[in-house]
Formats: sequence, structure tokens, C-alpha cells
Amino acid sequence: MGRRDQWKQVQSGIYDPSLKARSVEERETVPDIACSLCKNFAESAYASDGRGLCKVLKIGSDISVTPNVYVLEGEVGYPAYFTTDASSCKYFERMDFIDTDGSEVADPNFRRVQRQMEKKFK
Amino acid sequence: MAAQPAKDISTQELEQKQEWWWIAEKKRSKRLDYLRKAVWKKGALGGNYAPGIKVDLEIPQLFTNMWNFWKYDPAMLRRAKSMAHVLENMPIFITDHAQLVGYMGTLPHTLAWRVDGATMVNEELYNEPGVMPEPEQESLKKVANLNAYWAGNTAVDKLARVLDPEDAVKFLSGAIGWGAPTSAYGYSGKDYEFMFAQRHGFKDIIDLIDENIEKAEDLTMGKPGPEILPVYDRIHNWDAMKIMLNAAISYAGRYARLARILAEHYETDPKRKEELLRVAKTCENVPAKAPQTFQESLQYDHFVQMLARLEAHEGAWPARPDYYHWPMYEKDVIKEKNITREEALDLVGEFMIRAYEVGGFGPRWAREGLQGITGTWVWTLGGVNKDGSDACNDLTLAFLQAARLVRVANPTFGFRWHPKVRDEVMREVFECIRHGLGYPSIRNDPLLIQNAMHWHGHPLEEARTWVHQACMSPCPTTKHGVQPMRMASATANCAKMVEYALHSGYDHVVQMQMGPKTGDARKFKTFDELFAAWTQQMKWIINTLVRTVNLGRYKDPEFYGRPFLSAISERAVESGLDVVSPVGDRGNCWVTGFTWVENVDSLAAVKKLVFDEKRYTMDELLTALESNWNGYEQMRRDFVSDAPKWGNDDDFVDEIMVRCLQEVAKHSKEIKCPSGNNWPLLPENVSGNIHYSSIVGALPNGRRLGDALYDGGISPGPGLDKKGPTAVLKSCGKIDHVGDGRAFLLNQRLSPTQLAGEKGYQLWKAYIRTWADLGLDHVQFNMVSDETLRAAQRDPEKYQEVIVRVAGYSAHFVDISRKTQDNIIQRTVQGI
Repeated sequence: MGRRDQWKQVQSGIYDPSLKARSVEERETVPDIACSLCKNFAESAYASDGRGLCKVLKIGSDISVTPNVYVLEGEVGYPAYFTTDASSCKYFERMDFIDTDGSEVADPNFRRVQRQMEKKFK
Repeated sequence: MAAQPAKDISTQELEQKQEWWWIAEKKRSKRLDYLRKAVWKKGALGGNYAPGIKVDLEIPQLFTNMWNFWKYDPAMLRRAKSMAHVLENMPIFITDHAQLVGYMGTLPHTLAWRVDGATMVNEELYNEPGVMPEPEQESLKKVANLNAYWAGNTAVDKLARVLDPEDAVKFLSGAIGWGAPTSAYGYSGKDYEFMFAQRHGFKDIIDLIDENIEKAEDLTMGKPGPEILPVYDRIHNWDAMKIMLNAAISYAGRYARLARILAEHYETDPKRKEELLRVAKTCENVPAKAPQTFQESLQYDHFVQMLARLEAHEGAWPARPDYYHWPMYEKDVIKEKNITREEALDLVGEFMIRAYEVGGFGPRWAREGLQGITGTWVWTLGGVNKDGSDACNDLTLAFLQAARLVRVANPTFGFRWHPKVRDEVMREVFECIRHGLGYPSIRNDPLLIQNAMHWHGHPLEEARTWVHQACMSPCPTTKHGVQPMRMASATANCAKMVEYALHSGYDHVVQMQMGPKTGDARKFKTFDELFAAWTQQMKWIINTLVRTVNLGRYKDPEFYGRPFLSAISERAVESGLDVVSPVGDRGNCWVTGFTWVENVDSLAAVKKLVFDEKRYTMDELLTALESNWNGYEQMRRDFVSDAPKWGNDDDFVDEIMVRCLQEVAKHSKEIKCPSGNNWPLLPENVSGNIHYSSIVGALPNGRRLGDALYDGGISPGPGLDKKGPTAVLKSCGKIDHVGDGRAFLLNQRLSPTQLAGEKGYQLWKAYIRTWADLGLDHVQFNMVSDETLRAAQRDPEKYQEVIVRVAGYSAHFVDISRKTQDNIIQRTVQGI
């Protein structure tokens, strides 16, 4: 795969097309084991809509299929969303501290200021 | 015992306590007092909007309905028709006691939402706590439906599809820069020369467009040939501009009708009734015709700003109000005495409050980077006329005086200092600073005019019209000089340059190979090897950002476009091209350099402690950095205290600053904007130093991941400038403020106690003379004591009106995050 095609694959993962079709109910649901609860998930500091990258899994991984595909080598993390269901991911590690405040500043490692997270944790 | 109410304390006593906000409340008129207190604060508190602030959903719905209806029209025409529908149907309001009208939302507490700008922002809005109008569930459904319609079809989505995917992904990491490369967001200059100096009302512009259409139709109805083919599109564009101008006249007419209805059917106070009828008459005259009175002049300007902000999320407010409103002020206040100076001061104060009211929903990175405000409304005062004579006038004084009465954090002022400025004006400038406003910033006018000519080739007369395009960068207000879209995405998180040089381009925060692989820094044997790696990373970051912005600009007429902004720009009215097209634009781009000085202090520390003195090895340094200095505290302290720091007149580190800047300046001439002009660096920070604090890893200047970065520009690190204000100025004076970059922000804190009274003014004036003699282009001051700021942290309710200079803008101290507050307090208070 050439350079452009490789990055296209990453780009399409970050621009999750499923965002387009989601209903209000789907948008409001945060699974009990979601990427947003995992210490290996880092939210993007640019697009603060809840998208981010996994710090363990790399691009090419897929935790939505059975069995999960885990790629651990690579130069770009696996793109995920704060509501991504991580119940089958063996690298899921629950965070002790969830920051839903947002009055301070971006912290890709702790910040989870989406309204849905506030409802779940406050 | 209860504290004595401020209204019962004498002005003299309040002055001694430096509680300037109570003095303002005592001194301003009842009208200004009401309007100032009635206005809703739209700036984010840290990263969150204040309670009660809601997003306007009505305008996005009106716009989307019509956008869908006109789906077969060319882009600019489609946008114009959709916007005209908004202007015809959006609810409007007039605030009690107001003499100026117009807002970009349907209610005073609403934030405008540019629904067609970026899907990411739309999704962020859906997830944002607190901003949905009640009932929340209903609003969420509306937003979800709008987001579904626009997903994949916004300006940023369209651009993302044509960008190189590697650039797009790395940009979206949030690590190297910010902004959105589309005119849906960003800074839009206004062609004030066309509107105000040449006195064109909207009907006059429609006449000009009609003449151009007529000439164009001679071509399209004439002999066939390739030269007439672009003309068809231009006719559509002119039609779009006309639609916007006519819709704007009708929109003003709606305010006129509302004011008249209120006056004739509801108002019982004869004085207010008279005012409302004057508002009606004003809105019937402007923007249809060129203004004839001072009130009309301000109202015309305010309508232009609101209409432009309804069309796009404008992040800045380039303006020069004392220059362009002077003719009507002079006529009404000085020559014909139609209104008193006090009445004019009321209008000026209200003009500022109306700007303070403005707010749009911005993404979190923008809120964190501009804490406390909704955009950089830096208005330009002073300076010179086109012939080089002093442009300061009585309206300059009125703006400076009104600022102290209304004490808004936005707009702020940048004052174009030059040697001919009268003492009377300098005293008013100083009074604003002494009152703790943090503005005006002081700009070196002769030097910046020279700089504009050097970097972008502006002719002298054009350069002399310059205004602050955003916080800092001077841009002219003329046909070819005005910059219709400047995207903040050419804003570099410069600390990553040295971070990537040390980690061979790998970013340990976002876990991605970002920059080029410049080699294992553990193996570097000389400082020059490290510097060569730094240069490569610097070029990579700047190139990535500039490529993105250039493409955004080139594609913008197709992906977004600005029919209203085009209609008030001589270049577009003449050519029939969307004003965002680079054709005919001289080009005056710049790369904003956030977190710049960290490079200099970090490189100096490595040079001294590793390569020169050999106290540590590169391996030890890299190991410590990879551990975020954890377990290496003594070593970290050595890198803080034993390495020279910028701002102390120390040639060891100052030479590195100059070397870095010259390397960038060289590269700035190698890369070009779509008009073929240069991309110089402009180091400054707003509150990006706080936003990026959790994104920049550990650095050799002793900083850990999460620590606040320096406050920016060429300001020394907080508390690290230990040799006094003259040493700071001398360090900064080693930079060539013409050839080494576009402009250089310098924050300084001064002691309010030392600068009290006449002696204080004379000290400050002497400081400014030294600043000018050393050839610096910018300086801005905080003059609020540690005691007051600490008290405000302890008891924010009591200190709601304390204002501080953050960097490039001012904010109410209570509106910025704790980390930003601490960063400001930490800055050295310089005794002069």
C-alpha cells in the first residue's frame, strides 16, 4: 500500500462516517465499558467532539468485529470515539479519574467533557 | 461588620485602593451603566460557556431550509439567497436604552452557530453541556437533524477530502496547530476605504454592480470566444452580492420599523421616544446610504459587522474606529455641535458594549485558547494618515475615555505609537493601562509600516492604513491590501519543533510519527546537529500548516464563499470574483508562532549543560525527558537555574533566539501564499500556552508535561527575567523587528504602586522611549497587583470586573482558568 493510501485509511477512520446516521438515542448511549472510560484512550485536542486515538492499539485494529483485530505496531493510533463499545477489547483499562469539568484545559489523557459523560458520572 | 458599599466610598479612596471598576460605575452615565450590566457575557469561563448562554438554533434552521431549497444554484448565489432568507425572517430585538441596534443571534443570550462550517464543531455542539435551549430534548433532536444534513457537506469536510490525507490526519491530531482553513471561520478584514473613506452606502454599491453587470452582458451577448466564459460566473456572483446588499437594507429596515412601533405604540417616556425615532431614522438611512451623522456612522459599521458575522464565524474584528468615524464625529461634535461630547461618549461606549455582546459557538480549542472572550476584537487607534501626519484626534481620546467607563474585555485596543503623538493622547493611553485594562497594547507604527512594506510589498500609503487583523498582525484596509480571510490554522505550536528534534519527529503525547525522522538525538555529538534537526522539524511544521491554509484559501470560493463580504469589498465588486479568491489580493499572510520561546530556552539549556559544559549527556537528558523529569528533579532544577534564559540581556541565549528567528525568516521567503507572497512568523500566544500545556511533552528548559507554557511571543518565561525591564528590552532589541518576522508580542507586568500619579506617568513614558529606541514593535502591560489578583482568586464574586492582559487580548480575571490565572500572577512585576 502506498503512502497516500495508508494515510487515507487513517483519515477515513478518523472521519467516522457512522456519525452521519446516528439517531439521538444512539448518540446518548454510553456503553458501560466504553473507550471514554479507558486510560488508553486519548481524546483529540483539536476535534473536541469525543473522537480520539488509542494509545495501545494501532491503525488496522478493529474492536467492533469478532474476534477483535489487534495491531500493536505502527506509527498511528487506532481511531475511536468516546462512545465506542470496548467491552470485548482485551486492552481496556478502566480509568480511576474521569474529568468531566472542562473549566480548565485540554488534556487528551483525562478530559471527558461530553454532556453524555457528565450525565453518567455527576 | 458588613463592608461599606462602593457607592458610598469616595473616588479618591477607590483610586488609592485601585478599584477602578467601582470608579467606572460611579462616573459613567445611567444609560451606559444599564447597557453594560444588561449585556450577556459570551466568552468562555476557561473552556465552558457561562450558565444561561444558549446556542441559537433558529438561524441555522432558517439557513438550512433555504440552502436545501436552492440546491441547484451556483455556490455564491445559493449562499446569498439562503442568507437573505435568514435576514428576512430571523427575530430581532432592541435592548432598552440602546441607541445602536443589531445582533447576530435571535436573542441577547444566544450564541450564533455556523452550521455549515465543520461537522466536527457541529458534533461538538451536540455533545456540549449546558448550551442547548430548553426543552433540551427537543433541541437535541433539532441539532441531530441539522448535523445529519450537514455531515460530510460542510466547508471543512469538503476541504478534508482534497487535502493530502497525511497532512489532514496530522493537522487533526491537535498537536501542531489549530484553526479551520475556511472562511467559515477566521479573521476577515474589511475594506473600510471603500465603505467609509470613499463613502459608499449599499445603494451606491448596487449601482456600481449594475454597471458591471451591464458591461458583462455586452460580452455574454456578443461575439463568442473563450474570454467571455468566466464572465457568466461573475454575473452570478454580482447577483449574489446584490441579493445580500438588498437583504441587508431590508434587515436594517426591520429595525427601523421595530423602533418606530416601540416609539409610537409602547414608549411613554418622551425622551426615549425621541431616541427610538432617531434609531428608526438611522436604520432607514444606513446602510442604504453613506452615513450623515456620527450615530449613523457607528450604526453603519455595526450593521456591517453583524451581517459579516451572520455570514461566517469571524474570529477577529479588524477596525480603526477613531480614523473612519472621525469625519462624522468632527462634523457633529466639533464643527456643527449637533451633539455634545458627553452624548458622543455615550455612543462610543455603547458601540463597544454592542461589540462585547457578540458571540458565536466556537470549538473547545478556541475557547481554551481565547479564554474569557469570543474572538480577538483588537481595534486599532492612533497611527498616521496616508500622508504620514498624526492621525490621533478627539475621537481617539473619546474611545480611550469610554473604555475606562465601560471596562469591557472585548474589544480591546492596539495603539499605533509614533514620535508625533501628542502628550495629551499618551496620557489617555497610560490612564487605560493604569486602570488595569491591559490595553491598549503599544505598537511601533513607523517600524510596522516598514515591516509591511518589507514582507509583503505594500506601497507606503497602503501600509499606513494598517489595522490589527487579529491580535497583532498589521493588515491594510484597502482594495488590494485587505485580507478577506486569514485562517488561524497557520498557527503553529512551536514548542513541538524542539520536542520533535529531540524525539526524531515522534510525538509521545499523541503517539504518532509526526515530523521527519531526524535521527536519534542520543547520538548527536554537537549542538549544530541538534540545531539542524530543529530546522528540519521547524520547516515541516510550518509547511504542513501553510499547505493546508493555502489550499483552503484557493478552494474557498467553491467550498464556502462570502457574498456579503464580497459586496462590501471594492476588489470583488469590481472583478465579480468572490472576495476570498486570491486573485487581486496582494497577500499578507503570517504564521502565528505559539509557544515559541520554549525553543530558545530549551536549545540554550542543551547547548550549555550538554555540549559546552558536558555536565549531562544527551542520553541522560533524553531519559529524563521520556520520564517527564520524574526521578530527575535535581537535574531538572539544573536545567532551570543553571542554563541562561531569554530576557536577561545574555548573549548566549539571545544569539540562539536570533539564529532561530533568522532560520524561520529565511524559510518564510521560500514558502508562498496563493498570491505569491511571503509567510513571515509572528510569535504570540493568546492563551494557547495553557491549551497546549497538556499537549507539549517535557522540555529541556525544565518544563514538565502539563506545566503552563510561557505566556508567549518573545516574552521571557514567567519569573525567569531576573535582571529588570531594561534587560528584557535589550534582549528583545537584538531581534530585527522588520526582517526577522512579522511582529513580536511582549508582555510586561508593572507595579501599579510605582506608577501612581504624575511620576508614574513620566516613568512609563521614559520606558516607552527606550522601547522605541531599541526598535521593538509591540509591548503590552498588566498593571494589577498580586494582592488584587490573589484576592480575586479567593473571592471571585467581589472581583468580577478585574481585567488582565492575557496575551494579545484582555479578559476578566475571573473568566480564565486557574492555570491561566496563576501563569499571569507568576509573571515578573518589573520595577522601572
